[in-house]
Amino acid sequence: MTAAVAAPLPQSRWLKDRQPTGAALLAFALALPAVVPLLVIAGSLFTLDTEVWAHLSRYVLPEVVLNTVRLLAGVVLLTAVIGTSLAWLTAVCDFPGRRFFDWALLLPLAIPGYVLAFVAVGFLDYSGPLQSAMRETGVASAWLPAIRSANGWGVIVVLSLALYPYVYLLARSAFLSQGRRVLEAAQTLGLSARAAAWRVALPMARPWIAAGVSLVAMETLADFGTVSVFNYNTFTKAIYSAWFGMFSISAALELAAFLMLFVLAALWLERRSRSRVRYGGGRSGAYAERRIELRGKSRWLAFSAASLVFLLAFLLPFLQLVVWAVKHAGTDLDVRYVGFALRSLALAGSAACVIVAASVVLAYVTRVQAGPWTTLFSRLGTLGYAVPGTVLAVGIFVPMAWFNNLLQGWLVSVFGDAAPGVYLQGSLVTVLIAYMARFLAVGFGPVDSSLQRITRNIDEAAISLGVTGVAMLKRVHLPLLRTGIATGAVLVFVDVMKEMPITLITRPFGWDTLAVRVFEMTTEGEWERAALPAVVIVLAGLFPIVLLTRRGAHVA
Amino acid sequence: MWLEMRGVERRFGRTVAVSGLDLTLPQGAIGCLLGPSGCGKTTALRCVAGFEPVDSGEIFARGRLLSSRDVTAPPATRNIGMVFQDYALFPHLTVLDNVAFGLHRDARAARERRALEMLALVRLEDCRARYPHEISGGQQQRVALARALAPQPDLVLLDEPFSNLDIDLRGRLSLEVREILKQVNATALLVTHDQNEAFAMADLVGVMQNGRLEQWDAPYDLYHRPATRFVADFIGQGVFLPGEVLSAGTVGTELGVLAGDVPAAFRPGDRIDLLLRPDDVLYDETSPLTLQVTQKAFRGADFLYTLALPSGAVLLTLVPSHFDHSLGDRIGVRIELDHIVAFPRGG
Repeated sequence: MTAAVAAPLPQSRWLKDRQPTGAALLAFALALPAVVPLLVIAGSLFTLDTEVWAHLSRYVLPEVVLNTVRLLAGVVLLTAVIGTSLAWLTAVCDFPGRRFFDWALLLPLAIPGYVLAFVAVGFLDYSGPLQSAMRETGVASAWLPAIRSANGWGVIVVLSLALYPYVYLLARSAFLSQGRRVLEAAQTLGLSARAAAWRVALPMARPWIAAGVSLVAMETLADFGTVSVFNYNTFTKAIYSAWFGMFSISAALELAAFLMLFVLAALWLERRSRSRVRYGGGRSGAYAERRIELRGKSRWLAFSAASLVFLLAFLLPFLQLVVWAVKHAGTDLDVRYVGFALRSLALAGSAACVIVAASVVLAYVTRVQAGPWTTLFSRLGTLGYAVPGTVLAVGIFVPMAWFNNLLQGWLVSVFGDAAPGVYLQGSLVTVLIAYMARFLAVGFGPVDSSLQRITRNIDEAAISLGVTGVAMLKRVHLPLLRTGIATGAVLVFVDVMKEMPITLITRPFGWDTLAVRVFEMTTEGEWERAALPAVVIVLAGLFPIVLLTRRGAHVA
Repeated sequence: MWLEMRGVERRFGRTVAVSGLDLTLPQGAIGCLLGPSGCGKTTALRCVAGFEPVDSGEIFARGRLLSSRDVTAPPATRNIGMVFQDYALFPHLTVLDNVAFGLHRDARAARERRALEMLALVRLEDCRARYPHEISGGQQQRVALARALAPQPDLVLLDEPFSNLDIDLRGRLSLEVREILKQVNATALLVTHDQNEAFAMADLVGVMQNGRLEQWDAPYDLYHRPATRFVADFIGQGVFLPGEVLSAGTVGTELGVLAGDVPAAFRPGDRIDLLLRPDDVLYDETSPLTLQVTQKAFRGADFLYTLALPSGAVLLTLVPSHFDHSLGDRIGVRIELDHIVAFPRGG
């Protein structure tokens, strides 16, 4: 009767009496922030402004589409190669420093793409430390390829170094869960160890790798900060300029709709590959028992490859950041910085609270009333992680402005001239709703998985011992959910700290955060002065990685 | 009666999970619902626990109505303990705190004393400070039992209590659990698909099929006096041999005329299927009746031989293992029936 254990909660009369009647309605309400912008954007396709469209298709789209496709192809290819090969080295092989690289190669997750970008550009620019030093020592520097060249190689490399950990993480767990047995089976069938790796281990890990790559694709499509630093015109940047430069809402909406076509393709790929991910025989320690010992030259080749990625993606940029931050702390660090930090803290903190609270409610709603509707709404509500921040911001601003006008009209009709002026679309409410749309999945994941570990039998054991209702929540659920809630809160907090486009577009006037400060400094080419706020963001970003590697250690 | 179920029925949509279930369990007795998976036994147990309402019929414990079509006393008020198939221990609590969980009405000192007493009963005092994931499956099982017994419930329910354990452990633990239950004079109802477990644990066993309780009896009677063809088939080994009732004390079969008490329901001339257990077919080298060995299974102390009859029907017999015959050998057997177990032909 094991099947019964996994079955949804019984729809018994006794439980039904305790079900909140509007469970599905609640789930629907929580899904709205993610669904409304998508509907608004889809709707904009039907009310196409032909004049705007003519302008876009003539002057904007050709460049933007080409750039986006080129960026996407380059980053996907590069992250797949870097992520998969590093995962193979640390999960299956043994070489000097493997234990260190195993977790250290995740550290680049702490550095947002836009930070890596401005460090790289600042370092390699004409006036940067490298070229200045070369000129001083009399070495010609003109032959260096310009990192911000129009063909986009620079942004591709930088974004790949920032995003490869997604592929690395998933490929690594794929290799770890496969175990050695399949490789040995292949070898008993006459394949060499190397052939077995190519023909068995790699194909088996393909769904994981594809899932990682599709996450990379979504992040690439969503990226705004990195391409801004490189002044590389993609969809997100075009949406932002349409919004602030041309002040054209319909142009921004139409570009967003076009971008969503790419996103949906990536999302489809991700869902498809996720559904093929099956956890293997659970022999997680199988590789660790006897790794493939690399010998001679290949030992050091592996070491050099891992070191190079680690240096370029984390250590060097981090050190450069610290150096710059220290250099400018004396002049820059003033009372304004307290404001930036406090506003970042306030936004990230309240977003974490709101989103985790929503996650807990959504998780309970889907638990208590498991059905097609609640499932659908929880899926829709957590879809926002795939939708670029620029798209969400625009898609939420427009209906908020509409709602605001309605509200204002109503207020005027009631209070006449004494009516208070409201400006919802430029308030913190809008920012938080947009964050919720984007990051609900981030908070929901850990909360929901810890709730699912509280089986129906655990509930019934408590009930049969006379502990029900609030007492049960307090004595059984809360202690078991605590870790999930904390994890969700930390992840959301850090993601909001790093977040750039939503904050830029929807923040109330004067609400400059650390990320906004980084953006402003980089748009002025003040690379070194952007380091100070960026250091704080990176340090905050190290938290969840520590969490992640700790949990990984538990599993192993 | 300590536990009484009267005509209990439970439907899920159109499927009838349990129907017309009647049983009674006296104080201190251990009952068992036995049947193949999907027969409704777990649903019946969950009805007693109160996790499932009943669609008709009544459930009483110590004379109090717990469930009927209109009443479903909340599980928390039933004073019924439950041991779950996966134990459902609270992962965030130590072994001691798990056992003390249901004693929340007691003062702290009394709570701890009682919990320690229960741990002593299941001989796990040494594990009191450990967490569930730090102890073995057999130990978890005993913790679950101690937790269920701690609040001194009127009735303990056990849902497939040994199915997650090794075969070796199962046999040992089922006797141990029975001993513990008897020691505290608990009344218990368990559910299993394993008849060895049922026979080892229970004073009364009910065989269920398709939501119906076919027979509720002591293990000895289930084996020797099965009430239905399904029970005869499900419990123990045996074959059905076609025959015809000749008189109140004799039956005619392919093996000749067999003597034994014929059930009163049959009249001379009725065509029947006669149940022959391996222990009804005795090995006898002097017997004129010899049959060919077609299969043999060595079981240590004895062989289980399958013997072929001229018609193609087969018999099973248990023979001490020093009589080692080859396939194809003819061996002599004698049929010895005390009473006849028979069912209408083909029914």
